[in-house]
Amino acid sequence: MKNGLDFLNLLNCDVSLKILTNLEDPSDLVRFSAVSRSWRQFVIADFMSFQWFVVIENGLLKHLCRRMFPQLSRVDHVNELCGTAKGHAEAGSSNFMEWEALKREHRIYAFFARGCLSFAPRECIYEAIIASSTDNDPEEGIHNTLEPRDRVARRASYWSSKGQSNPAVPETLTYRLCADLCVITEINVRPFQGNNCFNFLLTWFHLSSIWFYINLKIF
Amino acid sequence: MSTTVPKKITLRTADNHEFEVDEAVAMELGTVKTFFDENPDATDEPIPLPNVSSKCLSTIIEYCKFHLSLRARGNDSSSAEEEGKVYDEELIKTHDNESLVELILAVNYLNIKDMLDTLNQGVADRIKNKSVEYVRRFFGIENDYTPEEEAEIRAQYEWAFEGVDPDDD
Repeated sequence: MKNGLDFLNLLNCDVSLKILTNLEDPSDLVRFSAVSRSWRQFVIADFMSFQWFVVIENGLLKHLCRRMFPQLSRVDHVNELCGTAKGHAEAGSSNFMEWEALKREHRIYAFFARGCLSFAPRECIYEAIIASSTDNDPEEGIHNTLEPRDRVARRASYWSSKGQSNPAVPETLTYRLCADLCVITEINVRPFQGNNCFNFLLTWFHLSSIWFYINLKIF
Repeated sequence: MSTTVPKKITLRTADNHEFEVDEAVAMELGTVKTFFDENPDATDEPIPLPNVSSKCLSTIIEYCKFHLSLRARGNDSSSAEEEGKVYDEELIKTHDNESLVELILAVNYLNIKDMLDTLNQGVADRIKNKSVEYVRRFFGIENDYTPEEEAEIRAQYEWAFEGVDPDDD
């Protein structure tokens, strides 16, 4: 191909698409969007032809993400919180809008793939915000729950509520996570073991819109 | 009375070489098969294949013969599958980047689905985790970005450009 023929232009799009869908790493697709304009359009919009107004709506990166994370097939659409005002001058063209939407999707799935594949397991909790009640602040404050050790400076390290006479009344602890998007693989809860304490019966976890609970066995 | 299709079919390549093949082999080439389906009365004149070089066609004929013979063995599928895989891997290995791309163009034109799938996977394996420059050279693609545009993409997705394999071409 020394004569500078563009391979993707020579092949029908089906073939080029198949080559690129054989790639299994999102970073390949993201990187290859820098090869040339037609490749970028190809990667983003998987074109029927290289006239970019013939766009079919599925991006290659989105497909790959969905193959890797099947849960994503339940996602209807994605959006960015900022940067949407760009290019409104040409909003009259629906093809233009469609292309902008595809580019946006490409950016989001690139961000997502990056987030999901590059994290090393680490603490997700950025800070403890508030406890519904604290018996002795700060000695028994919520910040102690982030301390993995049982004892700090020869004192037991724990959080204690003021306590309720009615066991049905809940106590809550609220934390801020370190990112907008976190993959949580593990939650550690350690009931305090000691005299004169009343442990919880049931623990609920609330992650933005998801509620779940874990029954804790206390020995 | 319709004309029976001849048992041997002659194919003529772009560089004017003629290949005489069994009908069964020729029918593996989707483009040739379609031609005969649409022209049942075709004479036994050579079929011109203006987009295929003789080098590519001989590789393709070998491939079709081999896979036909594998299929003819029928139910003995696991060892046939294994042999097929070894053959395909060897096919990829013995072609450099340029001839692989040339072969894909020919196989695509001749519409041989299985062979095309094999070659596509081969190409994908060769470009995965490679630099943008390598991919451009591989496919002979001209970079039509302005330096500013390219820098912008690189900055936006810096993580995707880290840790790629060194170019080995």
